[in-house]
Amino acid sequence: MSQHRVLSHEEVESLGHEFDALRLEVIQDLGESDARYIRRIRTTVRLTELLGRSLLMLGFFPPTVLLGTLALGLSKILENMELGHNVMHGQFDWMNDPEFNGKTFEWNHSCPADFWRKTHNFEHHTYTNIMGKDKDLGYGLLRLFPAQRWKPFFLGQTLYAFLLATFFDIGVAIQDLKLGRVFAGRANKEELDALLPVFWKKLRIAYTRDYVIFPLLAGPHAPAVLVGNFLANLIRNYWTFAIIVCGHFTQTEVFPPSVLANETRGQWYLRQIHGSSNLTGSKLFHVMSGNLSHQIEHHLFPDIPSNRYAGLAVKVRALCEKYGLTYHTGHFGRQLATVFYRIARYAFPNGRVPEARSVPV
Amino acid sequence: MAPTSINRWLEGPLLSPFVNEATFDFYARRIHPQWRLKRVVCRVTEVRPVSASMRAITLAPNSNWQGFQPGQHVQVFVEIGGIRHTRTYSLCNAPHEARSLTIAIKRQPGGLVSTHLHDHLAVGDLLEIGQAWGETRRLASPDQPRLFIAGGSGITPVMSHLQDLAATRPSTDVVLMQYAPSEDEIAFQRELALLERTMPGFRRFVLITRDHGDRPGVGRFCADHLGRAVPDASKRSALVCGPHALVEAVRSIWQERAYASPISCESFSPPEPVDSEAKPVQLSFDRSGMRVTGRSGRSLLEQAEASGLRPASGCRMGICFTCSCQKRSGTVRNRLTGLVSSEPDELIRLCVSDPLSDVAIDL
Repeated sequence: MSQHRVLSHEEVESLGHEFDALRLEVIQDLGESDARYIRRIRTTVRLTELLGRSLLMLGFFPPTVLLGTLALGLSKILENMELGHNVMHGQFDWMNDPEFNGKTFEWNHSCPADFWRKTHNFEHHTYTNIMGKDKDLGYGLLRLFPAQRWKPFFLGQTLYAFLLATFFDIGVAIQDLKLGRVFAGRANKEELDALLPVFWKKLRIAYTRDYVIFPLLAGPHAPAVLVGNFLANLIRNYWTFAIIVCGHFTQTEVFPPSVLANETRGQWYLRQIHGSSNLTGSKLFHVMSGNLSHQIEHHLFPDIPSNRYAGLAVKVRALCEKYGLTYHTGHFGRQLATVFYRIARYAFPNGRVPEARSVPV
Repeated sequence: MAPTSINRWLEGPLLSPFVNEATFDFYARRIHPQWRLKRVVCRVTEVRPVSASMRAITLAPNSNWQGFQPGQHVQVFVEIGGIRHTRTYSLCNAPHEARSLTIAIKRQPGGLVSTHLHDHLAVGDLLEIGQAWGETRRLASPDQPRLFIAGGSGITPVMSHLQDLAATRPSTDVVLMQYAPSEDEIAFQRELALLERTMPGFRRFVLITRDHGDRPGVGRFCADHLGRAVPDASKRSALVCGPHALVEAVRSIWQERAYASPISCESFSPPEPVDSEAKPVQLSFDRSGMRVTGRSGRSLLEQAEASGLRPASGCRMGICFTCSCQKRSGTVRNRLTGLVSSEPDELIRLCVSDPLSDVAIDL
């Protein structure tokens, strides 16, 4: 658990103003180079997909299967994380280009973009790390913090985590269906009836594309395409799961819903810093993580183009130092190990582990 | 296979769920620069000056273009500095020229898009436009005598009507009152002179509004001009197009005289704000955490931009809904409809909403 200095009310508000000023500074500077960046990402997504799918059509020749799978996996990761996730946050809405419009963007994924805009943009980003409100906090399957109440159900969570990671694309899509409520017999039937057809349709399209259309197009080489597509999806799922769990389940903190009452903008900023953690790595690593390696900056400024996070990180970190706040960051391997430890450890009751402090924000 | 039939095939019920427009366009444009699934991309085939400050641009659209009616307009999309800007221009050729369309662009002093188009657009360039829009009018009888009153760049939709009449009913009785600030600002001189020769029933009055040397200008449109040029105005189907003030002046005379003929008004500057007196109001842009002192009588879009924000925007005249956003609280008036919105959490279009009180919006 990290140690933060407790800020006075005035300090929290002045911190808020400093972040607002940072945000405005970047927004006023947006222009051609940012537009060029997202278009270059888009082009890379398309060309790696073309390359991957073409190579897989050549059949079971090990080098082409390997390269094809990697290229397709790369394309899916980039499309999911750096293109889809960021565009759907509205980060590029200022371009006025319908192709990069956050409200209408649709991705090649099992999760309908509208589900995502609700569970992720709204629920997760508004209620970050608030127990019971932020469904990303363990996805209703995992107990990651001692402050979360233990149930015998969590004993199996190492297995659940493995399954969730393996089928992460479907997991993300299912999130909006609130199946936990369905199993508890508290489902809102009307809501579910409206969502299910959308869910099935999107899932059918994604799976038909990868497991029917492209294999058929490959004719006699269909098996290679099937295997390659399956592995590419698996690579994408494991990678996105690993990056995403490192964003909030490391040294970070969770909060009771009571902090939401009269939460000021400064306090909201503070909660994002307490609740998020960054990953260190190369430029390529940052792009491959959809710049979620700059999770803190992303949570402070979810609608600022992701290519700006690296630059912002320097300033955010300096502000954290100025106010005596811990800027959670670490190497990917180390952070991932922390998460795995949490999954294994909190499958069991707390024992002598002290209850997590609720942070006075 | 022609691109059109491939498009139709892809948009069919079987394949459309699997076709992502952005992905399709990415590859299609590499095969043919104008090929898109739905968007209309035109090639510039001609650029020519039609007055000192106006240029006519002729475009060859791709097969997604659905055609137009006289008096309709198109949105033109231009990317400058990574930001796509939208402007609306009237079509000024005859619709029967199926695969060709002409717009005329007046260079606005300090105008970002018009200046860019004047300085950079050349034959062979590509330009994206929207589909034609705007009400088209049905006449009681197609042979009814016509009257067009055009002010400045308001001549552009009138050109489309005239070209259409010349092609379909060249003997129609037509009067045009064309207002311009000076001789060299009279647009489409050559085309109009040609129409005078080919249409026996066409009479044209050019009115120069401002003084030039020892030649006094006639001033703005008034009843006297109308009486001298068109004594039989009451019998004509009239169309006025131009700045807001001209449209209002014509409208009030028609109302005063209770002329039965319908009058279509198409004015391209958004209506002026109703409150001429500006009072200070507090604007909060919630998502940006910004609170500024703004004023009534200026659109929220302009005021947000003046505060350094970058809201998505399109036409800037209330057509495209690109800038629509949630108003959390406060009262605003829609410039187009005059309707006042004071309920919380209503969707408003920033470009045509003037604040009347302190306003909080989700921006």
